Parts: sequence; structure tokens; C-alpha cells
Amino acid sequence: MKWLALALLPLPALAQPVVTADNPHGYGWWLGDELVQRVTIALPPGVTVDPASLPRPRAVDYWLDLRAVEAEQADTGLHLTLRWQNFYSALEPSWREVPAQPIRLSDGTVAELPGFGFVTSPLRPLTAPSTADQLQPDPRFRLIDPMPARAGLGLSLAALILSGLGLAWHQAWGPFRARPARPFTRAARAMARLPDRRLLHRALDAAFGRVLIGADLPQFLAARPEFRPLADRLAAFFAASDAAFFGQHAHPDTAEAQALARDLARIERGRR
Amino acid sequence: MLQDAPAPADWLSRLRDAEAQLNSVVLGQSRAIRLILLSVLARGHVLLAGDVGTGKTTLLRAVARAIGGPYARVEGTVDLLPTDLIYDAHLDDDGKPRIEPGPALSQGEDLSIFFFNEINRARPQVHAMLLRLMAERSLTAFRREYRFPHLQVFADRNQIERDETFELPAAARDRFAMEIPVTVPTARDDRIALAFDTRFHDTDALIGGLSAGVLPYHGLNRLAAQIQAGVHASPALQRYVFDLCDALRDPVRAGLSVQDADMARLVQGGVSPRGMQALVRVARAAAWADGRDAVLPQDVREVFAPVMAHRTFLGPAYEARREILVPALIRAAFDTIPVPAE
Repeated sequence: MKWLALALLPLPALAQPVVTADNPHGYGWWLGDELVQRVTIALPPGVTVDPASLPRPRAVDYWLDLRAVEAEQADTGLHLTLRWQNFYSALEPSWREVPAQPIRLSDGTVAELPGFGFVTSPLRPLTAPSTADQLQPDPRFRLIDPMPARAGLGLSLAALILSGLGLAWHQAWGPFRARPARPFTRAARAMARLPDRRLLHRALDAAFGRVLIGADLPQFLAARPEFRPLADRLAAFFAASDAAFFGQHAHPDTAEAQALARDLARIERGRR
Repeated sequence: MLQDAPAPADWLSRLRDAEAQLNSVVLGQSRAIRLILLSVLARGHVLLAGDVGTGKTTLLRAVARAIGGPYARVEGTVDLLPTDLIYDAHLDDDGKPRIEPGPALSQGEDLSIFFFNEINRARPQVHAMLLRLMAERSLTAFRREYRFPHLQVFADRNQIERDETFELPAAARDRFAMEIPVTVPTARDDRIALAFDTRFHDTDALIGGLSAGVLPYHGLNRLAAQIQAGVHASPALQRYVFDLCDALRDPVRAGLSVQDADMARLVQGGVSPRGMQALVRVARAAAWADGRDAVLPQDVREVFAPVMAHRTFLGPAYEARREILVPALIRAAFDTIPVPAE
């Protein structure tokens, strides 16, 4: 077995990849032109190109950029497309050399992407005078339509205001602060138009938080002591209501009910 | 019954007297006493519900003494048969079988109080027989019909036990005008007195101390008719009673809400026309007992729960919690239904 190991040992060094390059033609290039170089690397089976060793797109020299490197794996090997760009501002036709790039294979072999040369020429005669009319017009500008952006701004503002209002409502801020319910004030106003003592009954219900009947008056006065000065008149009101609505002889005094509603409203607003 | 009945004006002072006497005998039950007396005035049958040893039986015996007249008493048991109320089968001195009138008949047609102790221990057959006795105040026995014009049925059931008891069917419950809860007295003095005062240890002597027949039973029917005819229920009050009963039947439409209950499923039924009639009768009696000639909302409120609670049937999910839910529902109705309404 020893002989086999010895026979296999130098094998990787022998497996030099075959690099064929399809270089750009060697003349007729100007400032700013892109030169496309296609390289095919035929690889022995099981060997790959170390991707980290591929040339990086970069400024290779002050006059030369490598703009893109595209690699494509095929059955026969690796197809590389290198896109160079020439920035050499030539004063006369000039030969430029693109350097070779080293690459490394997975078995440790180092190979080279071949360089190439080309002739680049000036864009115009060096001695021709420069005149103003040689300036080319600006490209036509394209107007940007601001309407979608403005509509978006408007919508966002509306959403902001709405959510602000919603938050204020939820938190009962500012205009959403609950005003104290004033059932007696409302009842006094309503009774000025329509002298119905049941309106005052409803207001008393609202002030008590539940339906208030004459027998509940002590509880009501205990819960709302500010109305205690009117206790007698409230009792008289309930007695009159009982007589009017449940008794047999009904002739209620609505004027007194209206006056009572006004006085209750006054206490409710803190005026007395 | 042409015995001398008190004059109408005299009745009210007799009622106050009876109430005071009953309160001195049965401590801490002033509300139950008041409600029982109202049922007497409204001629409605009464179901007492309460814990053991709270004085239900004493209370009923005391009321029976205040009313006077013959009274019969039956203890509910599992093996009680309907005929046991009517017939008494026994062997006579000569060893021959004899059938004689049972508890319901032995006092004759003058029977004023039929007292059914622990009614929920009796079987539904017995409850069914009671239906006729309560609704029509009549019985058929010994091939003839017996009529009991003065009859008032008092029944009690204790709420502690569930074993070997039979829940009263809805029809039987509906025939009781009121179900009156009898609870342990809350005042400390009352409870101490009940335990230590020897006066309360001998029930017979205690009840014997009451003056008998303060509210003579043979005049009660006429008094009740006078109360019902004389006490005014205005259209506004009729509307209030209707609104309350309607709210109890359909709490969603009335806008009631009770904690931890889905109002759409809470109430399954109840508040029969008989129930509303009982409510109006008892409310009129309450107004009269307060010395008024018109029913006020507070009269309705005073008697609504005892008249309506036992007639309100809850959905199956809520029936187990009815002790809490029905009072809450009634409270919600009184808190919500406006009076006098537009």
C-alpha cells in the first residue's frame, strides 16, 4: 500500500487547471468604456475555485475599475465574467495593461486569470479649440408628481388627529371631560316649558342613581346632604305626587313643583 | 257566620294590637309577622321558608291563636298519602276497621287554618291534592263536597335539607300568595332573650298568653272584600305594577342587569296572572294596614319580593343560585322602573 500512497502524493500538483480567456479586442476603446472579459476555468473533478480568492470588484488602478465579477458553475468548469471599466483620459492613442489576477483552488493550487492589453484613444483632437456651442444641452428633466406624497401627508395628519382625539376621549381629556350631570337643572328648564311634575321625579331618580319613591327620601337626603335644606318641601312634593298619581282626588300644584325644581337646580350648581 | 264581627274602623286597631302581641311573642321577626298579617287580610295562603329552629312553627301557632277558629295540623313525611289528610283509618274498640274524617275534615267546614308542617317532605301527590284545597277551598270526601270558606293554608319548609324532600311543583307554589322568609333574628338582644328568658322556653304557655281571636276569623272574608273594594289603585299605580311584573318576565327589554347573569337566559318564567292578582290584593292590604285609602309604590315594594320571588323560575344554569339572583333581579326592577311613569 505504501507505493500507492507515494504515487498519489504529487498528484494535486500535477492537476493544473486549464484557463482559457476570451479577452476584449485590443483597440478602439475610449474613456468610460466597459471591457468584458470572459474566462473559463476547466477544473479537475472534485476541485473547485475558492470563492474567497476571486478578484473583488474595486478600483484596481487610478484609471481602471473592476466593476463586477460574475461566476457561473458549469459541468466543464467555472465561467467567469469580469467587467472592467476604463477611465484613462488619453492624450494620444495609448497601450494599457490590465494585470493578471491570482486565484486559488480548493486543493491548494494557485492559478492565474490572465491579464490583457488594449489601446485607448482621446475623444477629440487635442488642438481643437473649445467653444461654448460644443456644450451639449442638459438632458430633459422629468417633473416629479408631488400629489401622492401630499395625499399621504394629509392622510397621515388626519390619522394623527383622529387618534389624538380618540386618545383624548378615552382618557377624558380636555373637551371630553365629563361634565357633572345636572338632572335638576335640566328638569327645571324642561318644566319651565312643560309643567309636568314627573320630570322632577325623573330628575330625582337620576340624582339618586335609582328610582326614588317617597319612602326613600331619608336615604336620598343621607346620600345627598346638600339637599337637606329642602327636606320639608321634598316631602311635601312626594306627598302631593302620591295624592295626584295614586290618590283619588288629584289637583297637584305644579307651580310649587317648578319652584322646587329651580331651587334644587340652584343647589346642584352650587349657588346656594 | 252571624257572630258579632267588629266594625270596620275597629279592625285597624285590632290589627295593630295583634301585631304588637305577636312581636312580643316572636322576637326579631317583625317583617315576617307583618307579611303574615297582610296575607290574613288578603286571604292568601302562605309558605314560610327558613332555617331550622327560627320559630316558624311558633309564629304560625301564634297567628292561628290570634285569628282563632278551628285549626288542623299535618306533618309532612315521605310516606304521607293524600287520603291521610282526608280520612283517618283505625281499628275501633271492637277491633273493627273504621274510617273517620282525617285532619282536614275533623274540624268541620269552619276550619280556619290548615297548617302543613314541612311541606317539602310530602310527595307530589299530596301537593296535588292541596292544589284544590288551596285554590277552591273545597274537598270531596265521603261522597260529598266540603267547603271551607274561612280556610287559610299555612305551610312551612326548611331550606337546609335536600335529602328525601320534594321540591314544590310550580303550580303548587303559584297558589301560595306569599313565600315569607324567616331568618335568624339579627338583633343581639333578641337572640340573647330567646336563649335565656325562660318565657320563651315553654312555647305552649307563651302562645297561651296571647289573647285569642283578636282578629276573629269569621269576619276576615268580609273585611278582605271591603279592603279590596275600598282601597284605590290608580291608573299610574296599575301601570307601575304592570311594568314591574313585565320587567320580571322580560328583564332584557326592561333594561335590567344583574351581576354575573346573562339577562336573556336568567328568567324562564313566572309572574302569572294569579301572581299579579295576589300582588295587588296584598298591596291593597298593606295600604289599608298603613291607614291609607290608596295603594302607593311603597306598598308594592314592601310586598313584591314575598309575593313574586317564589313564582319566578330561573333558567337551569341559574336555579342553583336563586337565593342571590332573584332578590337581585327584583332590586334591579325597583331601581329601574320609573314611577310615576309618563
